[in-house]
Amino acid sequence: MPTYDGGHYFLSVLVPIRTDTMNDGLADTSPVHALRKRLSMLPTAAQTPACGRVQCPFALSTRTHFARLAIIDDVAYNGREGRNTLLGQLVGSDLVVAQSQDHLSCPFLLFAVDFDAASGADSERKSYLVDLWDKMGPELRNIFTFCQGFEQRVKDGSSFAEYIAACQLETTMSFNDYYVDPLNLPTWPSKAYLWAGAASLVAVALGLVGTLILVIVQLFGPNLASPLRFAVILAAVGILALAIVVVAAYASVMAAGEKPFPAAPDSNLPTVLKALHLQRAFTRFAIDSQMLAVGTDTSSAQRLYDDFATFLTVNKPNELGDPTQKPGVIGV
Amino acid sequence: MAVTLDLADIQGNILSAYGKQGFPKGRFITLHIDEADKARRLVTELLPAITTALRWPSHRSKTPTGAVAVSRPEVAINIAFSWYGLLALEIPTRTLRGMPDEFIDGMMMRAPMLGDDFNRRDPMQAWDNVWTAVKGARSTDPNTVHILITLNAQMNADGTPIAALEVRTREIEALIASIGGVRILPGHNHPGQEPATYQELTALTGRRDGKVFPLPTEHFGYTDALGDPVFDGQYPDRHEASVAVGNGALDGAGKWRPLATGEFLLGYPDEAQEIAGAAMPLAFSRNGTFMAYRKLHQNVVAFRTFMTETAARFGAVFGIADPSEAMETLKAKIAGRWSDGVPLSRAPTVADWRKFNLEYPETSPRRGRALCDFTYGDDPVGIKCPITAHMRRINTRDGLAPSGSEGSVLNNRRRIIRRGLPYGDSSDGVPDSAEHGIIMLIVCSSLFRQFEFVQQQWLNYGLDAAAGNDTCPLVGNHSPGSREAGPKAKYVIPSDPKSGRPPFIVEGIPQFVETRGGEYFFVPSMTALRMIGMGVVDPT
Repeated sequence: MPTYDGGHYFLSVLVPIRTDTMNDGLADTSPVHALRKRLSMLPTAAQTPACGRVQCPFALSTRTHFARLAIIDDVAYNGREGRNTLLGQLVGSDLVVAQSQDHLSCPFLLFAVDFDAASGADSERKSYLVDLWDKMGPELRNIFTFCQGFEQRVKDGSSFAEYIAACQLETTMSFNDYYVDPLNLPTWPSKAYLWAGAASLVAVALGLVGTLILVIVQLFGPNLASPLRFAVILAAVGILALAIVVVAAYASVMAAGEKPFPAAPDSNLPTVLKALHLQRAFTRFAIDSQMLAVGTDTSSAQRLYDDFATFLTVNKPNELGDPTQKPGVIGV
Repeated sequence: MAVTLDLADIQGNILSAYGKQGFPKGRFITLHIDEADKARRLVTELLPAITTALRWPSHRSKTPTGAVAVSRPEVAINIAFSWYGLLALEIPTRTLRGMPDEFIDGMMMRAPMLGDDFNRRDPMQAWDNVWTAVKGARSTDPNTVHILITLNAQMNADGTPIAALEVRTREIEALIASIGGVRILPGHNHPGQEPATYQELTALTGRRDGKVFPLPTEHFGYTDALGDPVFDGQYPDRHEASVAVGNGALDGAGKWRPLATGEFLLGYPDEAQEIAGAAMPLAFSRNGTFMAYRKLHQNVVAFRTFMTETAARFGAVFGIADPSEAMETLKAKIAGRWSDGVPLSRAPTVADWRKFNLEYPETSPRRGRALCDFTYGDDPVGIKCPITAHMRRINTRDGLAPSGSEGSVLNNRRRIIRRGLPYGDSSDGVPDSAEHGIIMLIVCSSLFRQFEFVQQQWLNYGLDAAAGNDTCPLVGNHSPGSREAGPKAKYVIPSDPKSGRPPFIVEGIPQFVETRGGEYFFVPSMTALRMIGMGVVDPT
């Protein structure tokens, strides 16, 4: 179930963009043109010089790992659908006549975001979107105002969540980067299915060969109706069993694919941020204390002990709150 | 069928390192083209003097010369062009636009990405005059470097270059003067100084029995240029398989093979099992390659001072009582090799180092291979050789194999051939303001994919080494610690947990190496040079 995987909700949304002509304050233009300009002015990170040290509004949410906004103008045309030349000649296809091409009825705004969630339940999606609206409502309105139906339907966080839910697509390929150690997952029992498949095939082969031999022998006189019936039934049962094995294997693989990965340990955003803070703070501590660590006298050992106690008191490794790294910040 | 190279079509500086072949002296000349037709004539006139990859007999190297051998030149001469040089030569637009973006940009445009703007220093202020004299558009500025001519010369017993270097220089000067339309661009030193007409190069030297002999070391004191990629077609058959050990590509079963030719020469299949696109016509690109010219100034005094100051603390943390052993180990942990080139991966401690040198003394025919034949697979966290040591960053070998059993697959497309020579004097008492460093000539078929990737991702960043923003302790961009440049540069030397000792972390590493200039050049084949000279590059 890639929409929810590894403790993270992978929200994929395609929102239709308005197609009426509008005025952006400077000139008459299209909503997609105006939206593209708004998106380009949205700060991506305080470290990016072009953003003038203004932080990305998504950083106000402590559940957002990644957020992406992009415009899908149309579907790409990949050229004619290929066809075997001889077959084309036979059915009389004319290469000069253009094939029909697919196009979107309007441009779409892609909104893809990974956020912390306890499950893939709709309530988790809603609570995230309502929280996002509370934190960056004006910025969201600035963007989604160019989308169809937004102004009529969205009044508050709750209606924003409903609006987004109506445009949600199933995420089929999610990206999760928090597994530090390899996962210990059960292996799909491929051998069991292979054995079952092989046994079914043997039954089919025995049944078919037996039928063939018995039919040939019967041509020469003896009435073998009874064993012949047995052979035919064996082949039929074998075919049925093979079909069941194939279907069961397919269903089992698909069912396994539907199961979300377990959440990687400590992979929610507040923990990741705390870890980054501790990594930096402990590096500082290690640099400052390395000579104490190799001292052989009791006073340096005591000082190291005291300094580490101070480190624990100041940095509170067991608490997710301050001091921690601010979301959306890289480096100091 | 193995690749058979037409050695007579390939310039000699690609396949071999002149410095190691008895050419410890060098002189590099930069030119500007004022008139295309005269410049083409110059190329044609120079053509017979260009040193190709045809092998000459050597009394020093055991490398077989193959079936063809030419006599050994006194001065090896090679030529290369910047993109604006090709433009000035009136190469057709279709050929020019087939050139890679980074080559068209040139090195100064790429400086921020390469980390050459260290400490926010503007290359226009820090680089040598020859590279910074361009004030306007490079397509019209009379100071744009168009052509690089490299002369590599043998040395007299007194340490001076042989007379032929001066003779060849005068001949080239006379040729340029007689044809006209091309000017020598001086300024291979800092603004404010008397502009140096040429970039002079010299290997470091030693003295024995009154004779001066070249040393294989660079200014910091490390033995240099031990490992360079080996590719298909570079050496005669049986020798190639042998030198590929430690220098080629490693498969999952631990077997070495030469790298694909296309990684270093255009027009051949590369490690992606395809012939990469190149400027048309194919005959113009084939057997040619790209070269990054980098003048790297070395702050030798800063390096020595830092080592002296840090070695005692390092020794205390690592439990190395002898100060000189602590110093040697620290230097080795920074470079990945001991000062004489012995790899840490084969000799992690001073005791192992001594043992290695007893087993493979300088005179041993097996030493060369032993210096290169090692992997990182058994040292995933860098207890023997730190993952962030200089050598392990530049050539990651099997160190990045995702599950540990894929060999050097993630390294094979990131290899660079290092040519070049040191310049200047760094003997005791010479300050860092003096000229001393190394001219690195980095050869690869894609500067973007190979050189720039290694420089940006592996030398000036630490993600692939799981080391955050740490840069290469030797040649990396070392932040002095500021809001803009981030925290002070640091370097972590992991310790063996079994030793019970903490890792050593050194913080506030000064800038040891500074870029003083350079450019990206195309090194054409002899065919392409002929086509350029005749003005018959036809991409249609």
